[in-house]
Amino acid sequence: MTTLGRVVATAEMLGRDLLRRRLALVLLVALPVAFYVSTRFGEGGNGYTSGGIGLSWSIAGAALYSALAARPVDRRLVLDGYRPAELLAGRVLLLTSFGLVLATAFTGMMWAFVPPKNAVALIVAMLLVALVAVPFGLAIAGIVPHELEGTLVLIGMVGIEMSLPSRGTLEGVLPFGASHRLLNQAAGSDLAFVPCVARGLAWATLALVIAIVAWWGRVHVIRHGRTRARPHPAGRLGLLAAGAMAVAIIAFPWSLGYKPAHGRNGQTTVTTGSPDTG
Amino acid sequence: MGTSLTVRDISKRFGRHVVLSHVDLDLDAGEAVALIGENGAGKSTLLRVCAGLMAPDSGTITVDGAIGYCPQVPGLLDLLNADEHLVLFGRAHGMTRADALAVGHQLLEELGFPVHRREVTRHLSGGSRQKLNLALALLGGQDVLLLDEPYQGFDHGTYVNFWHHVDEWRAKGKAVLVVTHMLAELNRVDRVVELHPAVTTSAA
Repeated sequence: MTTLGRVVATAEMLGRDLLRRRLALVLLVALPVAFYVSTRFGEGGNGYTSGGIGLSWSIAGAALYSALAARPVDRRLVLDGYRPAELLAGRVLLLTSFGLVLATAFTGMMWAFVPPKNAVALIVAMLLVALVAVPFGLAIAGIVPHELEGTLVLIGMVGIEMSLPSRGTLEGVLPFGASHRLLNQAAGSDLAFVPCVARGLAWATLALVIAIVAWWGRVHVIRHGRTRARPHPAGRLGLLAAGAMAVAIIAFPWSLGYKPAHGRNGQTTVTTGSPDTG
Repeated sequence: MGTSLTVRDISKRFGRHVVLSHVDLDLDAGEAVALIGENGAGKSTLLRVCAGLMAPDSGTITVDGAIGYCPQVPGLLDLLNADEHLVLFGRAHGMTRADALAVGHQLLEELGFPVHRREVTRHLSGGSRQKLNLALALLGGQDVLLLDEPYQGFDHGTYVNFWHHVDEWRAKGKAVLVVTHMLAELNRVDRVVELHPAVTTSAA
């Protein structure tokens, strides 16, 4: 009950903090909208991929900044009795809820402008963006604990995905590669759905594992004269197993690419050309 | 009363700069000790090491009891108000929302903080922020208080009041280590420990 109370208290206070950042909230919504609109109406494509990239920047950026802003307080809270995992859990709970709400609203907007050819792929892709972006931003905050450097890493990681060929091997294994391919699928490309979802969920898991390990290293305090507080052996084993499994799924040579489709005359064809100009 | 904090042979360096060199310190329950020294002598570093926020390069520290740490720069969330801080920090001690607010308001009133105010801490004066900072360090009834210039920004009345509180905490059996530059108040503590850069001497 104490743990749950601490997790809920952390989430509640982060929520209050976030709601009071009105300009930041406006920008968090405006950024993906601007990305989407500029592609949709500037280049005439469906803009799904641009929208997904903008959304990943927004949510991961919110996670990154919330974690970095609270770091000095987090260490005091851990000194007073919080476990690092409780703080992280509260943050993940609040930010994931926020991300899913934002992703849902954004999906509705894109749907309204351009109805998807594959609605399930669009919905799943946008939810995956939110699920990956939160731990991804928290992991960056844990590894690069300075705002400028963290922001540059975030921009760089997502930006690289934008610059890579949309069907390249490397693009497929990057954090948001799976969701981007699903967004292509939503626009009509014939892709392997399950491997994309599996790889996206694996990235969410891997990012969360990295965030837990990195964040524990950043905020833990030394308990003098007591047994050093380390993660429970079972917990460490679980993290290791989850991380290894996620890496295996990400690295597995899935046939994520454009799977063969059968034409009307029975001839096997391969879809070429991205239907998404975004 | 027993020893609450034992510091033995603590050394700490940042790169080539030696901040603490073979520091020893004992702090008993019911004792107030002032930690003084020139800027850069390592006072804040020693407190952070004692609190467990920083690992020493060598040496050992033993703490008997819960630590209440009040940093020099208030570690607060800019967009939360005082009550929200009390609830958040109270949870760390297993306190309910009502308990955290009741205990926290009492502490804040004793320090002269206007508890009826609902502004977020970003809009509070430096002194008010510091009062909240100090109250959070005391919220759980901690046994060992590590206070890093906790009165910065206090008005005169609150500053005098602070030293009355030190007397009260000491009477309750708490161990109090205060970093201070206010040499006029050194008669209010049991012992004074002076840190010199990379050298430590102790005076009774």
